[in-house]
Amino acid sequence: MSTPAAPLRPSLPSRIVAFLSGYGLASVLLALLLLITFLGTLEQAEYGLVASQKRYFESLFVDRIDLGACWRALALDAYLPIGNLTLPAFLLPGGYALMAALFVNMFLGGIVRIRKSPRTIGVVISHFAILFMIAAGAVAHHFGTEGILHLREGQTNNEFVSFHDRVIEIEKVQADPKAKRSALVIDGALYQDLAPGKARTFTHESLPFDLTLTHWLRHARPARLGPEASGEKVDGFGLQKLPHLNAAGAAMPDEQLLNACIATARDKKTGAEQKGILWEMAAAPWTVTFGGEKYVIDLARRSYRMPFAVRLDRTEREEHPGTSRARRFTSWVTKISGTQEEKRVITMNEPMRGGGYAVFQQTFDDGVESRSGVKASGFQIVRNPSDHWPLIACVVVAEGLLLHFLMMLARFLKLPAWTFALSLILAFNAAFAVAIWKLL
Amino acid sequence: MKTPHLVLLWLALCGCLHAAETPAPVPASAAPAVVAPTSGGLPSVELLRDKEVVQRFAALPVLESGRIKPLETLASYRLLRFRSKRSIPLTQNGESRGEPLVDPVTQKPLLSASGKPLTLKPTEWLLLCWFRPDIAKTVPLFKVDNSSAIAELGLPPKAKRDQYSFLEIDPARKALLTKLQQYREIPEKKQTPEQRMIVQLAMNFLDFEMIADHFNFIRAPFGPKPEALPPGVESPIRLSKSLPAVLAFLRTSSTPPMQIPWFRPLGQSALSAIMSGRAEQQLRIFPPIEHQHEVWHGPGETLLGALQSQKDPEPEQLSWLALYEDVFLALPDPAQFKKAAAAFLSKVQDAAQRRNEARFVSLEQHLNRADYFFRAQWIFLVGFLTLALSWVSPGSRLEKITRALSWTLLSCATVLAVTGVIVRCIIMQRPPITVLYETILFIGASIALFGLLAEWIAKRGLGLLVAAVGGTACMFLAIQFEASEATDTLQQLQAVLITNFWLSTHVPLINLGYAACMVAALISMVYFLKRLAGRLSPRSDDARFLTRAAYGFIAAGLFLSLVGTVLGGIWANYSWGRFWGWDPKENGALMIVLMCLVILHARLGGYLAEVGIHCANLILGCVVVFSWFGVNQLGVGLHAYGFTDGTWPKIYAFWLSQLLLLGYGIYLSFRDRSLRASESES
Amino acid sequence: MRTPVLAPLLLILPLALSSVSCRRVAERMPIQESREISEYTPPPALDLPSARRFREKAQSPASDASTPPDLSRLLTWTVPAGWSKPSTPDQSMGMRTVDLRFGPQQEGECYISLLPGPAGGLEANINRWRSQMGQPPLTPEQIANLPRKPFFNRKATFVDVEGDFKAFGADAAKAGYRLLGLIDSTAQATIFVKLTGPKVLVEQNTAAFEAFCQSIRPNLPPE
Repeated sequence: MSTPAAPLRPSLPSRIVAFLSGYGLASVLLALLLLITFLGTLEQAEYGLVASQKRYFESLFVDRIDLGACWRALALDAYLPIGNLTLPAFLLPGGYALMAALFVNMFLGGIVRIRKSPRTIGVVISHFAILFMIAAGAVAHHFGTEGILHLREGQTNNEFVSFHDRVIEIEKVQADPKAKRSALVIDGALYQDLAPGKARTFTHESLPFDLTLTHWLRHARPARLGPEASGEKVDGFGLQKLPHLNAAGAAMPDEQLLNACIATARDKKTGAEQKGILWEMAAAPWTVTFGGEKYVIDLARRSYRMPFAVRLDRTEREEHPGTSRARRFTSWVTKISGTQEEKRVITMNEPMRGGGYAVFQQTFDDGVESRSGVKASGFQIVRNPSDHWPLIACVVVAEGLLLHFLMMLARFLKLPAWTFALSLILAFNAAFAVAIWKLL
Repeated sequence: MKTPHLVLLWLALCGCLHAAETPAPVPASAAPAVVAPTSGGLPSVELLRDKEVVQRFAALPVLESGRIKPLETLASYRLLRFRSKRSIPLTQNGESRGEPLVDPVTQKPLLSASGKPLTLKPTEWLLLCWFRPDIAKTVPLFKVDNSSAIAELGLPPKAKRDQYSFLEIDPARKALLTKLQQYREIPEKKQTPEQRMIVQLAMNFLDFEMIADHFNFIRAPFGPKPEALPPGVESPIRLSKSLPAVLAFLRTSSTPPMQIPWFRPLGQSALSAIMSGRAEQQLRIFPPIEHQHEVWHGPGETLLGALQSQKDPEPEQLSWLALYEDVFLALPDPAQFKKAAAAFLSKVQDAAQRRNEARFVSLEQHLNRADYFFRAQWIFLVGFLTLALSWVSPGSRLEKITRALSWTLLSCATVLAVTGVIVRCIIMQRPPITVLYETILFIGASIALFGLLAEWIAKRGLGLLVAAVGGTACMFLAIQFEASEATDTLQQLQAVLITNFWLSTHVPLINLGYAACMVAALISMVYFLKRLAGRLSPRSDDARFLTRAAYGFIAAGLFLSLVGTVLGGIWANYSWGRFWGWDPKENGALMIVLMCLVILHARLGGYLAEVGIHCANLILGCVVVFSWFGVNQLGVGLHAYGFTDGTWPKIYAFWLSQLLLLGYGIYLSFRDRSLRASESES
Repeated sequence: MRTPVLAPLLLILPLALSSVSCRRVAERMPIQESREISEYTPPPALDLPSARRFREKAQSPASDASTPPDLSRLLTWTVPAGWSKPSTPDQSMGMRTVDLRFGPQQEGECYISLLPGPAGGLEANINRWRSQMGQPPLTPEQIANLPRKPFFNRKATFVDVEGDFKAFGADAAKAGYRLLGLIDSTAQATIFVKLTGPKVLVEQNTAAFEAFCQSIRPNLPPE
């Protein structure tokens, strides 16, 4: 145990609390967090940010460590190639678990059990602020949504799509173009384990058919197969797996990967089957017809609805003179809530906020490279209940740490601690206030 | 950023790369023949080195890479890119102590007044290229680090690392261009060193050729033997006058332009006039009258634009072109040339002033001349040597004097470094750090300041040592880094970064955090080296002081990195909607924060004693270096802004040195423990 | 370091185990989630053949990696009745995105040309066309007053010139010709639609030209 032994042997609960609140646990947790941050950063080079984030930072356990990839990321293979070396076991706790444990440790050790005196007040304050920050992260992780909304000039939408979450949607085609439309949604987690050979059937009482999914691939494209080719064939096409690494050997970002799978719709009554390929980049969904009714089935990013719609009226890109380097992207939009219309401007570093959502200018397309001929903007849309918590936490943690370290310095310099620390803090705050006033 | 190389585009258009179909281009060795007597004669090299002339041209404002700068800066980075140095001697072997080159006109060796070979500064070199290409093409200019690249081109290689003149490379032009096209298809990370060398050499070769042929649009715009010129084009040819006639002819002509005999030379001289294959680096020296027109015009832009669109240039462009022609045509008469150059410069300056631009051109010239960081490096080094002298006899008068001297020197060097950083901020009108190069300057200056501050608090010489070592190392690193990148270090910002508030809070705080942690690591290195030298015993007063100082800097480092990192998250949250993205640079900063926290908590828990703290500090230093330079090499993420070749070996050298010290530290901790055990037993 | 490393692991293990065990997915499962589709979402394209769904490129003998990108894929249009592709190969060095012929001897020509950027601008291009017809150039004011026709969701400048037509690279002018043209020039791209032919033939095809211009649309990829 990490705490010094008390003269009397303490009870078991108090020993557990002592362990949970100890410096030893804190040091180990922090060191482990450091280690997974390092490994997770290195693995990004070959697995991409999203995969490594899931594996290292949002997980309870790191299920395997690809040392070979880390080695190559550090360019060490130029000296000593080690090939593909993977530690398959659950060796390290994941970021989520470490954060949770750290939360408990900090709460018990840094706030509850810490010796309270004027000397430790700064430490208590900063621990409290860090707890708040971890909580903000947890809230954003569990309750926030983010995604992207692409709009061409003149286009309106009130839905944005996730960056990374893919779903399969089934929509019944209605004759009336004005009718309310809805779709059944199958979450990606329910089928993304379906490697070739595995299958799963999805059912719903409103559907005249059952949908069986097979052959899910993270990055693939449908390719026309010759008559001699083996493997699953649909309408002359089969799924061709594509590499996850680009020409330079770096991982492609998750946004650029094209999921695909094969779907079979089987008539509930007759058992007749129709087979189709679902692909993220498909120009149109797959249409199936059962008893005169048409259904469209599509593999797409998960959509989210906003309480308002955005119309892109105009979008512009400014460049540094004589270069193709962007200086600023700006979009003039109309925010439509019900019958109310409101003109707004969104530019870099200046999002449109309101209704719990923030709309950020993220990408710009001048219509030349994409060859659409129309200018377009991509807006990052974020709904985050803990939006402003980190700012509060940052201010508090800064004040707390300043107070603590300045008092330490004052004692070292043999100066009156409180006067020294408080006056310097005052000076820092004043400087910061001036910076905000002058620059923001 | 990979902008299409205009030269390649043009060559492909002309079919020059398919030599079988078209006549071979005029060999460059026939250059003197190109210099037709229609224009001014050749000036003497003395005139191009004349102080007044050089000063005039050096101060000419130029719009390049989105920023207005003096021509001197442009010349200096071109030269730096070609030969990794900012000066060039006119000798046979490219060394300052070689056989001098011979002026082909006078047949006399090129010597200074004192009889030594000439060494040119960037602006002088640029003028030589412009007005005496016959000499400039014989100067060993292109630095080749790998002679096998030269052998691959079928040229006789010199030493492993050597310099080659334009005329030495020119015979292999075809091979060079074919290979350039071929290798550019290969992603940069997968190119072999030879391939990379050839791509670099080819780009430099083409860029130099454009500089040397810059004035061909006056010398011989329609080729050496112009024939069948359109009506209205009269000799002496001045394109500022005859361009409209040429365009009118092209517009009405029924012959495809490529079949007109003078069209290709005209296109090529227009292309050389833009003076760079990179679109954003073309020579733009004509400030437009219209204020809302942001992009300056240039001689090449005017000509090439007119030829491409077949539209008459603005009258304003033509009058600028005429003025520019006047400068060249005033040659070789020195007095007239000076007059024309002065007239042109003052016109440009006035026009820029009316646009309220080019306000900091003279300040930038001052920055170039003062060379703050180079000077600071040497003064830091001298300060370090003086300090080392003080260790010779502790307690003596020598120690007092040398230490005071070192104080003064290091303070001067720090002031120089800080001034340099501030001047750069004023020129760019923005906070100090936007690119990797600037982090080195800023962190160097901060380490020196931290060291001096520590010395002021506790006068034990440790702070001086930190300032001297950190300052020298960072200034040296910055200079090396600049030479290896060889692009202007004052860069315009990408759109997402343009916000002065966050750039002046988050970024400096993070870098101050790096600096504080590096100081802590430096102190621990001092600790181990002193132990190694037997100048320090464990738990002595000195050792305790080192530990406390290191601890203080870790605390400062924690505060700065933590607040800086969180501020970065807040910036990201308010500007593009995500507080934390697990981006490599963010993770690097987080790793520093975590390492500081580990050290502080382990220390409080009693797990780390003196040696332990210093061991952990060495790891902290490694983490800082990883986060500072390493993550940029991983080639992923939003912050990957500085890609430099061969950074890993340097990082590994540092890590290895720290590992050795760490091994020694672990040995010490065991030895200290067993010593203590035996002490307590006895 | 004395702290047992295992301790935090023990703390987390039960958590991890519980999360692994609840991930089991049954091989047959009901769909439980649904959502409303926004009124702004365009109706889906139905019953598309696989080749179009998977964006299979039309196989043509000339198409390989080295040929320049096919600009015609950016546009869609309807070819008027009686117009056809030229029997002789394209002589315009790829300047024509779409090239069509009409008339008894295929003497009527109509093409669409799509160029990046302003392509020299409206004025220069109109006057280039006028010079081909042997007509004097127009002043900027006259050009500004030329009629405009709706085209490509905007208004494009309409040109109607009669004269003797001397095509780019031709030896002699052909008398009694007429030129109809539309130019839509923006900073990003310029589209030309140009029709030339003997006066009478052009007269007959004026309505077809109008319809052809109206049918040209950007070929936007579906969302």
